[in-house]
Amino acid sequence: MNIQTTDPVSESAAVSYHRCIVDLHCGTKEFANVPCRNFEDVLGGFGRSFQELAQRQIDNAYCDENPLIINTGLLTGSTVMTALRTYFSGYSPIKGSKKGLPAAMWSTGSGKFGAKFKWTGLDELIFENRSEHPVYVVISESDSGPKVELKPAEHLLGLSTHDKIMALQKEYPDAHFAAIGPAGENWKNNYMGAVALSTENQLKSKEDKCRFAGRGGMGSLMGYKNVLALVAQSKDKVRKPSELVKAANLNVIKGGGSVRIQPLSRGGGGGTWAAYDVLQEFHAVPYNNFRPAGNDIPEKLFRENVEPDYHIQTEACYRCGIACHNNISEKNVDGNKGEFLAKFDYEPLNLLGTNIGIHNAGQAARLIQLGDNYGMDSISLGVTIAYVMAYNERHPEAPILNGARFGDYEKARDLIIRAGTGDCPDVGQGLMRLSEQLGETAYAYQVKGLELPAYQPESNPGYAWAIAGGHMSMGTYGLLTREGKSDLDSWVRGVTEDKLHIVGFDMIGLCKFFDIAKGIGTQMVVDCLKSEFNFDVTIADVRAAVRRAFLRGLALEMRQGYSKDEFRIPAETIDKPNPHIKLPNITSREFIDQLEKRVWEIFEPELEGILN
Amino acid sequence: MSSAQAPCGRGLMLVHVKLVGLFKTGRFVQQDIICRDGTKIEELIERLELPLQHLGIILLNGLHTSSETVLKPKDSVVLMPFVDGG
Repeated sequence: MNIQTTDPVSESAAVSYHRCIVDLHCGTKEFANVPCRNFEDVLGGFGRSFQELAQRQIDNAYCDENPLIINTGLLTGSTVMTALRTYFSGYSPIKGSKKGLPAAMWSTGSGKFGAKFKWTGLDELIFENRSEHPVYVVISESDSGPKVELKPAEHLLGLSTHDKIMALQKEYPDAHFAAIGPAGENWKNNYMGAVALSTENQLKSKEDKCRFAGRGGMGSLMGYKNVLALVAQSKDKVRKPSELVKAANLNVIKGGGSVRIQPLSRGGGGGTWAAYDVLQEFHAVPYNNFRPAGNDIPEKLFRENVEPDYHIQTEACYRCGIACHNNISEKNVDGNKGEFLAKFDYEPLNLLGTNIGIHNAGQAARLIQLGDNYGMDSISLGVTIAYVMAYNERHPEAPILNGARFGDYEKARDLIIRAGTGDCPDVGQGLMRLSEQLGETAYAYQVKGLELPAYQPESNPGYAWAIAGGHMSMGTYGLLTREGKSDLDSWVRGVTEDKLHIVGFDMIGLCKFFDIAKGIGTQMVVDCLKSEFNFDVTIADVRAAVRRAFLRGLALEMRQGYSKDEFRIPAETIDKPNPHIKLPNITSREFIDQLEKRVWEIFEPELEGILN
Repeated sequence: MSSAQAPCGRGLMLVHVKLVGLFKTGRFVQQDIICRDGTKIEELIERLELPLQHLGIILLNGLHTSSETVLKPKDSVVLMPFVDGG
C-alpha cells in the first residue's frame, strides 16, 4: 500500500494499492498502483473485491469474464496478532439464486501464505480469463517490485492439496503456498472446491496441517481457470510491534474475545470444539441432518471422551498467541503421538461426524482429512452428505447414490472420494441443486445455495441475511443460545446493526478470534491503524465502512436475482419445530414473517444506489 | 459451601447446580448445593471459583438469566462457558 495521508476516510484516493491483473489466456500482466475509491478499498479484503465484482454482470461462474480476485487486508502481514488472512473472491459456482445466477462470494483462511503474499509488495492479484494449460503462479519480490510468473503445472495434476504444497516446497523452500485439490481440478462436477493455505507447522512437520479458504467454491473457480497453485516467495518482514500493538496483542491473548479459544492448558476454553458441550445442553448439536433427537449420543465426541484414545495437541498459526488448533493424531501403544489425522474444529467435526451419524472420533477425523486432501469445503460436503443420508432414510425403497445411511462410515467415505474426483456431481454440485432435482427441499439445510454451518437454524434465523455463508458473515448464531434473546426487537437489531459487523474481519486481514464478539469497530483496531499506518480514524468510521461493505454484498445478492423468499431458513425448521431443542421457538411462521418485514424495512432503503 | 446433607430451613436453601464444559473439570457435573437465603448467582459463581472470563451462559430453571439474579429454594442453575466460532 502506498499511503500519503493520515485521513483515509475523506482522502481515500491518497492511499493506493498495488495490483496485478493477469490475463491467463494470453499470459500478459498489468501492474498498477490503484487509488482507493473509499475507506472499504483501503481496508481491503471483500470490502474492495466486491466493488470490483459489482462492476461486472456475470451469468455463469464458469465464464471468462468472472475474475478470481486474490487479496489481503490492510493489516495482513503486520505485527498485529492473527493478521494472516488471504481473501479469494469471485462469482461463486455453488452459491446462486434460484434464477440460476451466481452470487458474489469471498472465502478466507489463515496460514502464512497471506503474509508472504503481502511481503512481495503486491496487495491484489486478479486472474482474468482462463489458461489453456494447467499452471501455477509464482508471486515474488524483486528490486523493481513484485513479479508474477506463470509456470506449467502438469506435474501437480491429481495431487492432493497437501501433496501439491509438499511438491512445490521442494522447489521453493522459502515460500508459502495456496493450492487446490482434485475437487477444484474437477470443477465441472465439483462446485465446493476449497483453497488450501500452507502453514509453518505443515512445512516443518510435513503433516497435512493446511488452513482452508473453503466456502463458496473459490477452489473450483481457481480450477476452472486452470490455476492449480500459488507460490508467494518473499523474505519475512516481521517488525518489532509498537507499544499500541503490543497492548492490543496482549488483550487478544488474555482478554477480549479469544480467551475462550485458548487451550485448556493455558486456562482457556479449548478451542471451538468446546461448543459441543454447550450446545448439547440445549440439545442443539446438529445430529442426523440437523434433527437433534434429545439424546446423549453427541457426547461421544466431547473432548473428554476422545482424549483417552487419541493424542490431542494444541497448536497455533504463525506468530499467533491464541493456539486455537486441536490437532488429533493416533495414539501409539506407548501413549505417544502417532499418525496425524486432522484438526478438530467444531464445524468439520460435527458436520462430518455427529450430523452424519458418525460418533467415532477416529472415523470423523479420517473423513475430515479426506475432504481436506481432496480440497473441499467441509461444511458444504458434510451437509450435502447428511442430506443424502436423510433422503435415503425417508426413501428406503428407492435410495439415491450408494444408498448411504446415517452412521455408514464406508459409504460416507465413498461419497467423499467420488465427489472429490468429480465422479459424483450430485454431491459435488452441492445441496441446493441436489434437493431441487429430487424435489425435496424442506430438509435441505442450505440458504441461498450455501450449506449451513453446525449451528441449528432453529437458533439462528439470521442465517438468511448472511452474505457469504452461515455464521461467519452474520454473527447472530449466538444471539439465542449465548445471549438468550428471543424477542423480535433484539433479533431485528442483531441482524441489522450489531451482528453484521462480523464481516469487518474479512476486510482488514484479521482472524475473527481477534475479537469475535465486538468486530473491528473497536478502539483496539483504531489503535492498531494509528500505530501501523498513522491513520486518524474513529470507531464510527470503521463501523460505517463495514456496514457499507455488508450492504453492498446484500445489494449484489439482489442484483443476482435472489427473491426475498430465498432469504429464509429451511422450511422444516419453521413447519416442524424440533421438540427436543431446549430453546425458545424463534422460528415460528409468525416470528419469521415479522422479522423479515422489519429487517427489510431497514435494509431496503439503504440498498438503493449502493452499487453505483 | 455445604454438602447436600446439611440441614435446610432457618435461612438456608437447596439449589441444584450443573456445570458444563471446562467448568466441571476438577469440580463436579451436577450437585445440590446449600446456600443462604438471598444468595445471588454471582455469589455462587464466586464460591465455585469459576473463571469469570469464561462464563458465557447462565440458565435458571432452563431460561437465560444474569449473574445478579437472586436464587430461590429448589432452583436449578446451569453454568456454561462461551460458545463461539467454528
